[in-house]
Amino acid sequence: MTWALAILLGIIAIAAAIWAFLATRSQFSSMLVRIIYSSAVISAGAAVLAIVASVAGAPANDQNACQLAHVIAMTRHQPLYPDPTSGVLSAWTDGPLAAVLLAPSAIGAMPTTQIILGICLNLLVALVPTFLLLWQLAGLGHRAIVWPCLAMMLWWMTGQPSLNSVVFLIGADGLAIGLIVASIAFIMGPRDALRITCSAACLALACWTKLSVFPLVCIPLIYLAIVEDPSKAGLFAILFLGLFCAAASILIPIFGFKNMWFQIITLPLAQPWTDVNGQQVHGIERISAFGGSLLSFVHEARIPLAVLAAVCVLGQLLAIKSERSTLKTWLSANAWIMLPTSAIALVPGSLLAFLKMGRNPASFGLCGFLIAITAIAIAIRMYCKADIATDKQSSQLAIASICILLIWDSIGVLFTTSGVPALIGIIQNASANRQETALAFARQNPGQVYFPWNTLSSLLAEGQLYHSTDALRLRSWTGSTVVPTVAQITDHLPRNIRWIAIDASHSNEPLLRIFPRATARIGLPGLEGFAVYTEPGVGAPP
Amino acid sequence: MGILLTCLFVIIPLAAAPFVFKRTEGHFVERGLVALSLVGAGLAVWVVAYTISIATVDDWSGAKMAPIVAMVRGSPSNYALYQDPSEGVMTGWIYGPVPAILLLPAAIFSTPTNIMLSANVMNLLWVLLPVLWFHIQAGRGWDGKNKTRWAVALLGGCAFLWICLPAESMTRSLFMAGADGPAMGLAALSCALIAQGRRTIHLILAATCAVLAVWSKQSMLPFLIVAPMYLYFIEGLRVALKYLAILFAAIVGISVPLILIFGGANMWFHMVTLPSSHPWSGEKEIGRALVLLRAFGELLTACGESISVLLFITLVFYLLSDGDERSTETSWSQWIARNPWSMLIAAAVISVPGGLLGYVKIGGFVNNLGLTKFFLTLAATLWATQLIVQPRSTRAASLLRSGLCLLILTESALPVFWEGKMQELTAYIAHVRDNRAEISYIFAKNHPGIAYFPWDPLPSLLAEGKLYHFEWGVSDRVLSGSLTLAQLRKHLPDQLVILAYPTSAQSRYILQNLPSVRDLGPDPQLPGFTVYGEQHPVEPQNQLPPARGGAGR
Repeated sequence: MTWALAILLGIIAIAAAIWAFLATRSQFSSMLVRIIYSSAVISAGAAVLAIVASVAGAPANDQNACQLAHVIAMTRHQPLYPDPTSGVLSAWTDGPLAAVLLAPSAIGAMPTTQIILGICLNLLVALVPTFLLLWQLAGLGHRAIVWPCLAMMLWWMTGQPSLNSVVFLIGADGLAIGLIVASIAFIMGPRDALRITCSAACLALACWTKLSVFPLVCIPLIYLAIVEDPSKAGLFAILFLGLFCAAASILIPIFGFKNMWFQIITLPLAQPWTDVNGQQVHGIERISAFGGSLLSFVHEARIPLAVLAAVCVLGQLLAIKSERSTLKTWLSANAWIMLPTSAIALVPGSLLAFLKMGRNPASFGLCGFLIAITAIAIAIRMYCKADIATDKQSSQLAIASICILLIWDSIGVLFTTSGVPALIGIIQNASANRQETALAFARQNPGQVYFPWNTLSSLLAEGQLYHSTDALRLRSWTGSTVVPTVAQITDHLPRNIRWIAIDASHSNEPLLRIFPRATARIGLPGLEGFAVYTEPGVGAPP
Repeated sequence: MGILLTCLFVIIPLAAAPFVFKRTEGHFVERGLVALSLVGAGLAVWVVAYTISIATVDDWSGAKMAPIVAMVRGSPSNYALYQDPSEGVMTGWIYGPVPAILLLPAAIFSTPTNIMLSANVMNLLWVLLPVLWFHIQAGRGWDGKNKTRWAVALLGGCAFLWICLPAESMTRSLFMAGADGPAMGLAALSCALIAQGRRTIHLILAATCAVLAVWSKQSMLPFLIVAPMYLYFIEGLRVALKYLAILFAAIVGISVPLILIFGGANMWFHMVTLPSSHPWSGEKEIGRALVLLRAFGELLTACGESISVLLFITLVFYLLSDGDERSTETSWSQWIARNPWSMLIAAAVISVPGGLLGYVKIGGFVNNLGLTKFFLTLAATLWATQLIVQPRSTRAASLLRSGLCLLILTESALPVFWEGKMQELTAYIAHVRDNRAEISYIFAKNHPGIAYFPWDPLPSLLAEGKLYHFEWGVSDRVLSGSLTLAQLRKHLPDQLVILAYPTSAQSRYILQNLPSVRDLGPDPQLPGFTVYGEQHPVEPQNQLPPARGGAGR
């Protein structure tokens, strides 16, 4: 079935390629450009397949299960932000809006379905505004370039860990980026009161999705103050504040101010800085660690940055003429400038998050995504300017260069065994994952097994949310003020705990320190692929 | 060490950048990129030094050098490169004799690291010097009438290096001593000679290089038809026939002495019988057609960057060239004559079957795909160099020059912005002697005749003057069905007490033939090895277990 769909997708891609070749006869005078453009359509098809495989593979990521468990628990009347001293330890350190958005995924009955639904929602809210922004940027008559650009964005999302985490990791990043992009898109066109209101609303909601988005508030304010007049910037500020407070008046009573503050502010702030070896750093060592994180950021965003540099150089050297203008008129015509400035504004927060939250490249997700959109936006603008100036050579070179990058990206997927067959394999085996195994076992042995990496499965089987590994790590790394008590830990573990089942590929040493008597490692039928720890003498279930 | 390398390869190029910026013509952005690419060139040297150093850690590095060094360092007598199939030492040398001759000067050193390092450097020079010369020719516009634009030639050469450096298919060929490097270099030299001129002396030298390339690696055989084809297109049948006659004379003139010196029968066995007897990897599971298809996919992936660069240059050429310039070339033959790098495209296409065959066979590795990538990359950087030197439009030249600079900067930024990577590279360079070969060399020197290192024949050779079987050489014989136990016993240490395998060894085939040995646990004198043995000398068993597949060649 999956192969049949893949073949169908292949046939559609080839048909689309032929159509693109024929349809671009009037648009591109060069036969070579038409061939490259139509080949890129096949690459775009491969990108779609890679995206589908990434969605299907998301349930295999235990982190998705742990994060979604908080959301599903919320739909079952358990608090998203539990009491810091007596509640279950939570790893949800983002705003409440993302949890609200992901709540519809609770309609799935199995962990795989729920995670896939959550990822699809994430993907939609991140990609739809991005697509609309690029569509708007290209303008009527120049949209041939939007498709290869969007396909390139898809490739980056599947290949770059930081971009991948924005859409394929359950959390707040997907919604936050969608709202940020939507906020910028609204003030790219005519900046009337309605559009400014929508932009302010999106940004206010983005702040309630992820707190680190706050520095972005100044971007549209400054932009509007320069491009329009201070009154419109003032309007934006008032609207933003009003809408932010309105959202707060609804969200704070629902989620509880004290607990929310603890999870969103206290807990992340209390995390220690770590260096490249995972060691905690203090004092002057922090400068070197900060420099290292900056290197890691550039390394992580190197491909979009390289494309950005290439596009800028191409634009400069092709000398695509545009009328000389003042800063105000230039900014007015190039509202996309808010994208890179937003990325820059987010850099310090991303670096801090990287240093404090386990040096996870996901911390660079928002910045990386904005840099990637910037690179694409500049390519689109360059193409449009050349097209408008009837500089056909430059416009064709711009679009064909993007297509070549796209083809280069897809060669590995289209032609190797780790490509299409592997992707098909992932799609076919979407439901064969540890979450499902854990669910089946937990249903047969309720209250006896603890899955610290698969809390969603335990929640679905027993209705109880237990501590996740991430939450334990977050709380154990912090200072003495937020370290949980023994009673708090034991209160949210299975009542008759006999086994601790973990994926052996994870680093489990800190986790196992909580269970000093669980020294025997055994294999249990029904828990294949898990390392099961228990007290010596405790065997398999009858 | 880190500070020294940073000064040499980053600070000095950075200091020179403003001068280069001032002296360069063109757009501000273009000048900036050219100036900054100096740092990319400096970093290339740094990364090359690391790649050559890290190659000494690979077991295959020493294993390939052992039979070459044994030609002059055996005791009491030297060893033939191609050993007797039924009685001789089982080595891993299944290539032509030319690389062995070219890399032989490395044998003047006496420690494994020095030998491997010097061989790796020589290997690199055998490739890079012809490549650089080719770029210099392109930098003077092929015909030699114009002044050489050294900066552009070096820019092209540096871009070539940076395309090759991140690709494993190329690093194995360029930076690890073996047959691929000399074969590529000689083939490039042959093409460069024909590009330079078509006088008799050029044809003689080109034919000689082509034959030597084939005598370096068998899969280069189809390369012989590239030059005649090219000459036929641009000069006509007469010159092509003349070249063929010279080629025939070169084949005879080179092959006869080589066969006489190295022994025809033994050479045939190692160069033809053994490789042809290797089964295809995965053949039983998916069949030959799918294996080939899969390998072709891997080839396309390996060549992805080179193909993309070529496509981009083609685009710039067609879209930004002046119409008048294009119309002056009325026929394909004229175009090919003005673009001698096109020979390399033909060479890339022609080397596909041989490369695929080398890759799909058990023991084959990605270096076999490197031949095609090498020719495609060289073609791309040469064409770009040519277009910059002979601009068909100012915009095209600017774009290509900036494109090459951007490529260099992007590739060189990868290790720089990888937290801790540069320190890691420097540590490898500084501690190049901390490798298993040195450990086993010291051990063999202190305990001669009792220790056997199946994956490291070079240290034993240098310490004891004896060439023992190489693990993969034995595996080759089992795959070909020509292994006898008598032969296996004959070239093991006289009083074999210790058998030491690298902890991460690809295979332990010889160990399976010595059933009486047991794991002795870690030995503080042999870190990085798993030590097997017993107190009395060990003997091979009477039946041979089957060999299994692996990779490395």
